[in-house]
Amino acid sequence: MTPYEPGGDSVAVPTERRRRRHWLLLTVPYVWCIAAIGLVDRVPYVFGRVPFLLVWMVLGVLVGTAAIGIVFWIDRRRGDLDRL
Amino acid sequence: MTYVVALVLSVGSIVAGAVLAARGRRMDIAEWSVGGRRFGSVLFWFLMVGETFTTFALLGASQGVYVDGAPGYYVLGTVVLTASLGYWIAPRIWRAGRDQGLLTEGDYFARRFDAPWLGLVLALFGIAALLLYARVQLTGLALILQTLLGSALSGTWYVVVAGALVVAFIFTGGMRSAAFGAVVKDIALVVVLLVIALTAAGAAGVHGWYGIFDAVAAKHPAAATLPGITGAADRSVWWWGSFLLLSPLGAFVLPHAFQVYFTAKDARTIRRNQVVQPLYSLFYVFIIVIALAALLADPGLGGPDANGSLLVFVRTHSPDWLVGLLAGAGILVALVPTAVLMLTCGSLFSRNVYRVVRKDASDARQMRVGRIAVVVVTALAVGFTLLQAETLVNVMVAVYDTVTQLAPALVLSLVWRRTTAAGVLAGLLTGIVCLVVPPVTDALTALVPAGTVAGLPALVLNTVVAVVVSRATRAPSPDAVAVGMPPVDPPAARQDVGHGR
Repeated sequence: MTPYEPGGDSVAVPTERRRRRHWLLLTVPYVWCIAAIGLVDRVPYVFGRVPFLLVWMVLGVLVGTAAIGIVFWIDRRRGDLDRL
Repeated sequence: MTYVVALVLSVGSIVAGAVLAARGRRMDIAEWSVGGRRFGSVLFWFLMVGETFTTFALLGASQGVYVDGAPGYYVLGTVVLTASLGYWIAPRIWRAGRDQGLLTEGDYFARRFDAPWLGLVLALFGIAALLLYARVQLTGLALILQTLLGSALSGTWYVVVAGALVVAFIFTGGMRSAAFGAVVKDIALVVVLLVIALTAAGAAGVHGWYGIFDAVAAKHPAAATLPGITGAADRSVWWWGSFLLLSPLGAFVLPHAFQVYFTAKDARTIRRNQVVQPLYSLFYVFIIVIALAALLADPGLGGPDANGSLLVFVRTHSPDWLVGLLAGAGILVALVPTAVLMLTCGSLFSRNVYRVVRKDASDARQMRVGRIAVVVVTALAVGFTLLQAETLVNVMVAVYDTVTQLAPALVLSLVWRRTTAAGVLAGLLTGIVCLVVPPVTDALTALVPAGTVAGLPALVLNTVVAVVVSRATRAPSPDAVAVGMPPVDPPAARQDVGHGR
């Protein structure tokens, strides 16, 4: 038993074909790192002279990781991690 | 000093990796090609990171920032975008591998479309692309060592020795050696770059990272936004978007990606990895800072020399031991990915070329053929690196550029039952024509906003053709379809998951 298994069996046996709307969060990196760039690119600097695009992309890695992490966390709670 | 540090780090970890991997395991073709499908989260993470960050991270990424400024910041997006797509696609690839006993990308396409010939065609296509990829790595390695260690040895020798090391590395231990080597490589790379990034401001004669940004802003006011320092029209927002859309798709269809995903022990290992892998890409911040510092301290490196801007900067402004560490990490950064590329070529040849001719080849025989193939393809890769055979190289560049055009084949095979071998091949050929026949490429790029990478409209056309031709041809058998699209998860497997293994 791995430490990542959910505790109770009642939670762990998922209903077939349950909708996974939270997977929409997987689009967050695409919106952040691609769709938003047209607007982001209009601001050259933040905090004085730090390039805003650079700061934005670093935040993109963090926000994107958080988004994928939330999807993972919800899937784990539902026992859906091995569901395709 | 420089030499000793570089040698101990690189050769030490390669020998240790090979010995550890070969110890106490019965080697068969699955153990050798995909590590017996037993890698847990830690080893799988190191292997994935090891494959993602190649010499490109040291050379190409820094060159992009050094030459263009802002356009080079795109590298930060590549891994997180790939990971979010991978959360959906990678477990599907892995599942097909486990259920069908697949070892290569060629195996997947051959089985999914009931067409060994398609596996053969794609295996040859894949080997050509990987040979070029290996050439890029070996050329990068020669540049790293010549810049950091000086030209006591010629580039030729570095490349030949590198080829021999690659073979020694994976001949016995296969994928497991590469994974062990990746552990040292991934740690060494990030530590070395952290140290260099922290000392970069001093070397550039300013105070702290803010000093670097401040000085770059004063000297190159255009560096902070697209299209960057050179002001090239093709570095537009459209370039940024289309490039970043294409690169995750390309990441899944390179043949070694399949093989790396097959090493995971279960789907949750892969999904967990998609969460943590992007964090490693934050180390691109170090590369970007170093590249900006190099732009201040050693300006004026143009053309191909800009590839070595980070190296020149480190060589000029860092103590010997640090130069040695970077050289050692650089050797691993080139050799670990190259080893996996060559292993993939060996498996592709053995499974999808040799087995088409000799259908009854036993496991032991496939393994032997695979090992011989590794020696041969590595010799070829070394040969291509040394020979300045431009025509041949141009052909391979074209192949490599067009590999992304396999993406519709992969995605359609996972979501649409009617996809056929003829359909995906027709789509692939359409995509290739769009990219390698200049008048067609020009016509295509005229239709989209300036800067858009031609691969993106080509991909759209490719998909349309694949769908139309698939509709017109006979669907594969239900068994074949099930390779990519298993019938709704069988209840037995689900309960198994619920109760924990």
